[in-house]
Amino acid sequence: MTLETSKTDALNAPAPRRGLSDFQIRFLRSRNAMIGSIIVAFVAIVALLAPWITPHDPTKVSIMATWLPPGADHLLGTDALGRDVLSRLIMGARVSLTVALSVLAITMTFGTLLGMVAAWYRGHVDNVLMRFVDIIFAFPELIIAIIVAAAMGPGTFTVIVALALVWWPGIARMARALVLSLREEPFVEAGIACGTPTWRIMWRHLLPNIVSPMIVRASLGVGMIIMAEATMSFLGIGVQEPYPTWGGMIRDGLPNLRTDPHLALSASVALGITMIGFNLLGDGLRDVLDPKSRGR
Amino acid sequence: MTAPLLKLENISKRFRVGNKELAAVNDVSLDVAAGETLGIVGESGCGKSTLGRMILRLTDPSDGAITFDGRDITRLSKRAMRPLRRDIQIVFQDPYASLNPRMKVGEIVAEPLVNIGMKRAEIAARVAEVLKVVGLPAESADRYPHAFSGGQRQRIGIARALAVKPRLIVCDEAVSALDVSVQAQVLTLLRDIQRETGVTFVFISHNLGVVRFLCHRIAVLYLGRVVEIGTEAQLFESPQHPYTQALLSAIPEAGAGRRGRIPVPSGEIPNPINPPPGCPFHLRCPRVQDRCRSEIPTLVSDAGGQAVACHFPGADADSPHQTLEDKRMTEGEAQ
Repeated sequence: MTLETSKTDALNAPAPRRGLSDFQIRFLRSRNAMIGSIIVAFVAIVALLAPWITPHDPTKVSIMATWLPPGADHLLGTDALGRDVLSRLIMGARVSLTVALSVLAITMTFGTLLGMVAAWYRGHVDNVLMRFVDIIFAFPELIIAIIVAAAMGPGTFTVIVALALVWWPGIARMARALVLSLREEPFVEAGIACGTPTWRIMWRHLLPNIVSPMIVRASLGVGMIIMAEATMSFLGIGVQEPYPTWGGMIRDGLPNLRTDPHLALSASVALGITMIGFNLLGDGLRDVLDPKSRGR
Repeated sequence: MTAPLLKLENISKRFRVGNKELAAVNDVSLDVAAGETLGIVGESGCGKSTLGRMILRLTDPSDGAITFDGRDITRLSKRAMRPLRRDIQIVFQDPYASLNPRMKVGEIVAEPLVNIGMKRAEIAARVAEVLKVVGLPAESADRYPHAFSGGQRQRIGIARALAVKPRLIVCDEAVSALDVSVQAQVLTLLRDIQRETGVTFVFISHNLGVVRFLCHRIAVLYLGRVVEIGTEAQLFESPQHPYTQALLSAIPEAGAGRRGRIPVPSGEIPNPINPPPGCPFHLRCPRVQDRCRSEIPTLVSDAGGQAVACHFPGADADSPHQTLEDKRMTEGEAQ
């Protein structure tokens, strides 16, 4: 009897929805991935629409309205120059995401390429590239960023260059490790054995098989990059006034943390939520894309 | 006799392991005639796969020469090797790892065709054709490998090897990972393909039963050396080397009833980093004499073409064997 019911249950169970891939179904089922992507999507939309949704001009100085507490006109209050904190927060999202995505695009492209080349050719190519990576790893990230800022002068472009310089070695190392294990796989050897040129082996056999762990790494990295950008702005070597950044707002709010905490706190909360969003998304993606948990 | 399609002359492969050397393949010479199937058998670690990989130049031999169709391919550069790749193909052991999980079956089978510069429309037709040859529906081309069973995946691997109409296919343990019933299907498929296309096979396996089904000639490898080579009939009816005899006795259904008890060689295959002096088999050989401990036997062929590398070759009947059980008993008494 029970056997029969379970059989009919199985038959009556909803068939897998058409048009949804395995990946999509698993993604929708993953709580981390869903919460993370909602937060990230929210931040991204805010950043995209920033110029149209700020309640005030984020750079407009008003000497008469400094350090206003949160209220009806200024939802999150104003800063030392009387600028609207909420508007600056919204514009700040733009800076954070622009920097993070630029750094990510640069480092993923070059890091992956160099890592793959090192792992594929090994020998001298590998040695030279990886020793270079070691050298960069040997310096604290901030030192390199400060050196770059000193050489180029502070600014958005400087932040992107500095962070890209610090970031690519980690990506390259990961791509190299993944390719080192992949190149021994029989399907790669089968490619060599049937005369596939090296570039096509990389493009068709290696890259598609390292893409999912790289995406996870990228989404986990975005949080860190945003944090690093904020740190640079906090130290004054990042994006410059009057352009609003979360790191700069935390810096400006810090001296008044006891009397007017709304400035530093609101920027910190925005930073924190964004980081949590990207980390959740990365964690979720890792679960979803992990080949070991796949398969039915 | 016509010139062999594939000729291996004194091939050796040594790997560096730390500061020592491991001789995976040692002075192996083999001829493979066009249209025949040469079996290469031996225990794990005897160098059979390394030998197969060298034929495809996936690994470079340390010494010796490989001649394919009268042309020395031993030192060809990767680029110069590329045009020859359409003549030599390989089927791998693991049907799961040998297909790229991110490529559709059609793309996998088409890969060697793309490499020889075939046109798009012709590729599609050829892919459908070879899929049919290996017994897979044409729709398989649009699916990913994970949708197929082990046996079907191995057929896909065979289809990929067949696509460019190669003259030689190296099958490296091509059926070892499959269920016995599926093994039989795939072996029959390979035999039918050979009958139709006249392709030459080098069939590497540890399973003598499988080799017997498919192979015209068989080479027995031990510790990187050929210890015996002969036709299927010669090797199975009158094996001369004690190692071949032991291998045959280890086939459950063929050995036990017909041949009675023949000792399975005791002990493990020696460490190839530290090979024993003299005959590589002497540590496990029931016929061992002083000469075997110092002098490496050379491969000597008889009038029928059967060759054996043993100082004391011969049928197994009258040699003073110690069976495995006897040995266990004496060891037990000693303790």
